[in-house]
Amino acid sequence: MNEQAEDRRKRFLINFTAAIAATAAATIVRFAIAPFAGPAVPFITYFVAALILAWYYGFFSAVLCVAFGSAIGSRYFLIHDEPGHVLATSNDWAAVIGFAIVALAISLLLHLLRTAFDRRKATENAEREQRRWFEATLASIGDAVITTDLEGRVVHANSVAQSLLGSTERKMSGRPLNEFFRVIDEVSGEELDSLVPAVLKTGNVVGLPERSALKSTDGTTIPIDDTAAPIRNAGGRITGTVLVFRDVTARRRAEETVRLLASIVESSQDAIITHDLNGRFTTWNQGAERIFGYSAEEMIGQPASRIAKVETENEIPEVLRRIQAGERIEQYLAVRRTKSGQLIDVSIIISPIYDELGRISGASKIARDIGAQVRAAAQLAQANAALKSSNERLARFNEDLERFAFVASHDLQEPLRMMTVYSQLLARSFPGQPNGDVNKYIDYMTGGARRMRELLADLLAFAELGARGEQPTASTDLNLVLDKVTQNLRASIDETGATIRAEHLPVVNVYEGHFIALFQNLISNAIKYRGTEKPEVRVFVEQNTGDWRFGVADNGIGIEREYLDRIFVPFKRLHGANIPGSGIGLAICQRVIERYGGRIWAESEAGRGSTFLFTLPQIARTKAEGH
Amino acid sequence: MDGAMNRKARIFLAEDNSGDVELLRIALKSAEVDCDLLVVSDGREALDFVRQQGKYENHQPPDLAVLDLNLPKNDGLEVLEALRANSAFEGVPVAIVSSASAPQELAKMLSLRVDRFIPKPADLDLYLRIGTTLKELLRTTS
Repeated sequence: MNEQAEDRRKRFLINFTAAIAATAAATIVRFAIAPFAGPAVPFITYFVAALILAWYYGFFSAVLCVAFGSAIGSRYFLIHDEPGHVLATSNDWAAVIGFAIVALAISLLLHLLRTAFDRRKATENAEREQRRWFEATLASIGDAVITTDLEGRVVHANSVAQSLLGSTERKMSGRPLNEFFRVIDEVSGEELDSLVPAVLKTGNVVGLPERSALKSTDGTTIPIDDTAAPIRNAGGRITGTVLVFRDVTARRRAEETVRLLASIVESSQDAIITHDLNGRFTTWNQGAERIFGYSAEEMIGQPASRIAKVETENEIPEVLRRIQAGERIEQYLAVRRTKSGQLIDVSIIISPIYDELGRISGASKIARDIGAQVRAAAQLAQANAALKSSNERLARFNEDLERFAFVASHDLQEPLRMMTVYSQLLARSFPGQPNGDVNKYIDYMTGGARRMRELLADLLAFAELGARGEQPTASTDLNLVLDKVTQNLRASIDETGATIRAEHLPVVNVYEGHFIALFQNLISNAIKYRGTEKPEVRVFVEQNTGDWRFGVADNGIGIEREYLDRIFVPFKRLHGANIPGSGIGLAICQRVIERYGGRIWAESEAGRGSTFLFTLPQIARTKAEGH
Repeated sequence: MDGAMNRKARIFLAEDNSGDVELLRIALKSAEVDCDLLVVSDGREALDFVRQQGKYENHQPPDLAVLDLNLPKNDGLEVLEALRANSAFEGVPVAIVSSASAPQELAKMLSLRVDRFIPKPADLDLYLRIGTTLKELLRTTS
């Protein structure tokens, strides 16, 4: 109030001073032009001053100016022949009054004009301000905002809307919104109806369905969330619509991430559970249900001690204390109690959970049932121990066996020698006995003893093959080996008319003696187990990747399929005494081949001959030779 | 015949197997070797003999020593070694009659100088031939 009065007083002073000053100026100007103007237009300068004052300082200043101007003009410039006569004539009065009336009238008019002008300017300023504020508001909204009129034409579009739609307000303004704003269903790709008609028709706030996307002009789609509402004027009449929409890409992604994480948690075989700082469960996944037997409904809100073993319940406060200190607890091994009361071994990782302000709000636990692991580890350790001891036993047994075979074959020779020699002596002590049976019996004795000696010799050969510490170092030409074998078997080859054909064989890194034994056994078997035809033995070889594959094929009596896997067993024979043999030959062959890392097997059918095949890793070869 | 036949040859035999002792007797007999056979059946006693100690203190060295390598208690190689270490036995021929032995045994045996090594045969005729061999050994050294 006081201020207003002060203000008014100040303005009055200014207007008054301006009026005095303007009048004074007008008077000075009138005196200056007096030599030219003379008595004509006595009030002209006051008229101009009044008009200027009326425009700039108001009607009151103009009135003052007109009043002073009339007085000063009448006294000094309304010139008469007789000095000292002021307003001497009626014409003078008419001039003064005319001036005053015209000046006041025009001043008033100017004043009114000025007032109207000012008001209009103020209104315009206010509008501009309003608009600036509105735009600032729209711009400050993080969402895109578009307003339309009743025909669905764009009125405003804020900068977010402009950038989302890839256009400018200027381009959009006045044009139908549909030209810029097309919404499709993200899944089906179908275009959705505009929200504007729905809003205008119902007058309600309308939203887009889930999975809506904005189809931009370049064809890309942006998932959006859109709400449209009517704009009403003061009278409540709808004057347009406002659409508020936002890019929800980030939110979708976040939702997807959340969904993904949730599905990971749910599908995990491990128990993933959280609890608050009071130790009460807040989440409980299916893995937890599977491991502990309790469902999520049963456990959420329950204290963590529900699954602790009774005697370890006091672990929980300790764990809570460490979690509250922000500690992460790795691989914490614990025993937990399931719903059925069973105790299980679990490995737990416990981490603190932080709220949005970074404060610890609880703990997450990932628990894995390691019962199977624990049992497996125990079993493994047990199995390893068992294996180790059985390996040791086996090694010892093998050693014992070899020593036994060696000793047996040596020492058993002695009594046999005695039997042989003394039975011969016995035969000679009864020469020419009429009873021939004695000689026959003695023959059986010596025959048995001889056969026993042969068996022992083979056993010794077999045992010696098992001797360790020998590595194959010699380059052995298998063609020469075969020559020697043929030489050794000369008698039986000649006797049976056997033919032996061999492909060119390679030079390999093996002990000659081993392969003499091998080929001699295989070829002598081929001859021994001959059919009605003359034996034909074929030795062949092929080079495969990484190994040689040898074969010794015959046209003999063959081997029944069911016995094929037994023939390599030491002392296993398929025939009686009609075909002599110790049953050790193939066992020796197998032992030789396995010693060099190869494999031996037979392919045969009864009556169709046999083929003995064996492989030899090429690592044992020194020089490759073609064949 | 010759001088060796003027008196009975004295042959020392270390052999634990009585069957072999008998066969050697037969072999010597069939080779017509007239001899006194002193038989000991274990290595311990054989050592006493070649060292001329214990009950063999006053025994003279034999004309021929026949040793088996596989003897109870102390083996034939020990006996052979002790024999070679006793100067009184210098010039006594030694024949080893034994079943096949490990190579290192044979090597040691050869280093101690033996006059004959005869594997025990598993045939009567071969056995009888040992008698002839021993007879030759007696003849060359007497």
